[in-house]
Amino acid sequence: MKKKIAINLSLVGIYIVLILVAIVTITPFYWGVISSLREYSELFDPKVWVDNPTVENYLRLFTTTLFPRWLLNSSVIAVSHTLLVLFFCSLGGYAFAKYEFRGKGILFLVILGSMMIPIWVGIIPMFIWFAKLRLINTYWVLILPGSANAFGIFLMRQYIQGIPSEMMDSARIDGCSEFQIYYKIILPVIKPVLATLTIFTFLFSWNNFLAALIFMVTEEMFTVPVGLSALVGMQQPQYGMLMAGTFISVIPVVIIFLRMQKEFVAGLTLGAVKG
Amino acid sequence: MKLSKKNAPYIFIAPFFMMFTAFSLVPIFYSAWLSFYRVQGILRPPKFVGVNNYLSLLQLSRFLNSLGITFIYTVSHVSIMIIIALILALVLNLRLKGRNFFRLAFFLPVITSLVAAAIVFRLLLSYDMGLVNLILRWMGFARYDWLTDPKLALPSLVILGTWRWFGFHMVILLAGLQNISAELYDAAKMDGAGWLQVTWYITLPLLFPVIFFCMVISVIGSLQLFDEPYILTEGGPADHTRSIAMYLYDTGFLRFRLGMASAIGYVLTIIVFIATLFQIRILGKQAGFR
Repeated sequence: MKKKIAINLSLVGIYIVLILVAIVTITPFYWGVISSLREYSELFDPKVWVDNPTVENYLRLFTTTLFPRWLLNSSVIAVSHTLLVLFFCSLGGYAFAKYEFRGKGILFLVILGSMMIPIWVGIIPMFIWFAKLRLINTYWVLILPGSANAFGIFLMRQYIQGIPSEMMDSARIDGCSEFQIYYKIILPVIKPVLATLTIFTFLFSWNNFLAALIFMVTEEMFTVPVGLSALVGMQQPQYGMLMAGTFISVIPVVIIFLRMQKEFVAGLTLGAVKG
Repeated sequence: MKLSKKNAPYIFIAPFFMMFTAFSLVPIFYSAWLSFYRVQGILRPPKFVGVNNYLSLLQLSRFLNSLGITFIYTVSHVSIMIIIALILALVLNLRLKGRNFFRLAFFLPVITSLVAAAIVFRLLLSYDMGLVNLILRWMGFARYDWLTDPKLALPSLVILGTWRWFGFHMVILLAGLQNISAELYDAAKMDGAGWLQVTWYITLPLLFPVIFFCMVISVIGSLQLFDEPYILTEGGPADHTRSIAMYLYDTGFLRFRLGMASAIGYVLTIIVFIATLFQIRILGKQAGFR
């Protein structure tokens, strides 16, 4: 009897802690959203609710700043970049997984090794190069680098290795060309890992700050994170507008995540737990 | 050109390797070369200065300050966050009701962009209208200068970083916990072990490789801290949150000393390597290396 009370008490305690942590975790989201619905004067109020919800901040964000343009930029870049990554990494990953060729081992080691080098090393040469190629402040500068993604090709290779080679052999017997095997057999089968890579890559590109900050010079070419950071840097940050912009920038991410949670977590744990 | 089983792989990896070489491999070497030069604009050729860049770095107090700041941040952030993530993972592993809700809630910060999170926290920690200070005032305490007090700026950054990442590590640890066979727990229970003993003697040692993984990647990430201090405190106040990466950005893109910045990049890389090797050396055995 005593033991049961003790267990129940500790359960209650555990739930209290969990709920408190959840509150702390979610509050910034909540606060961001309600701040975006507040008039400037109301921002100082220690209230938990919004008295006069207003979309004024959103309107001002869309009409007085280049936010719509930033949204366009981010979208074009993220989608293009993701498509490139999916193509390069699935094709390359397939080659590493299912073919034998000279230099295969070394090349793969080089790719893995590159994952250990911080991006800071490459950023400056890239800047100089792109400056010489007159590609600074264009979409290319954020779409091309990183499209050969070591993480991506690693993910693809691990997954494709698990596909029975008989599928490919029988396809060859049926007369498929090598590329057709990739296109008709491999691609459909690896949809789950493609989904995982899509999420990671899209998120990474959409949320990317450093590269966009460095490579985009004029306001019209800013991506959403850079644009918002420019708004912050002002003397009196317009927090209402900022929160509106932040909220909008987070929506696509949350939607994608909620719909693809499983793939997301699977991709994360693939490297961590299995080795 | 006809694709045969023999030459197909080369064709298939070609696009990848073209991009990889151009944007990952070559920059690594180019940057190393650059670090021995002083760049004088895009039109004039760079001037060779040997190891001067590196030597000057070691004497620049601002750089050494960045080293210290980054180091303090890394140690505090990683330790606090992994402990929190571990405790939560152990708790959630108890298969309580609502576990999926909590897992989702705790993971939400991870999918936000660092910029979005930093902007929101900048509001939350604002002296006048920040929620944190509002709550403190409401409870009768004094308000704090979270972002402008030199002593509080770095802790504020640690709080932001922990909020942002603890869910990520918790999910990974949770997955690791679920890989531990239930039979072990049953056997221990039959021997009369309590929850604490089971956790300490069985769960944690078996989980250690995963904990180690979390440690290593969060150290690597923390050493390269940039987005958050840039937005939250702009490196201030008085350089108290100027991480190495921020200093690199400053040197390379605000002062255009690209050669020096390349040197900083390499120093950062070396630090990351050493930190990783250090962890492997000290904790590698328990984590399953060698």
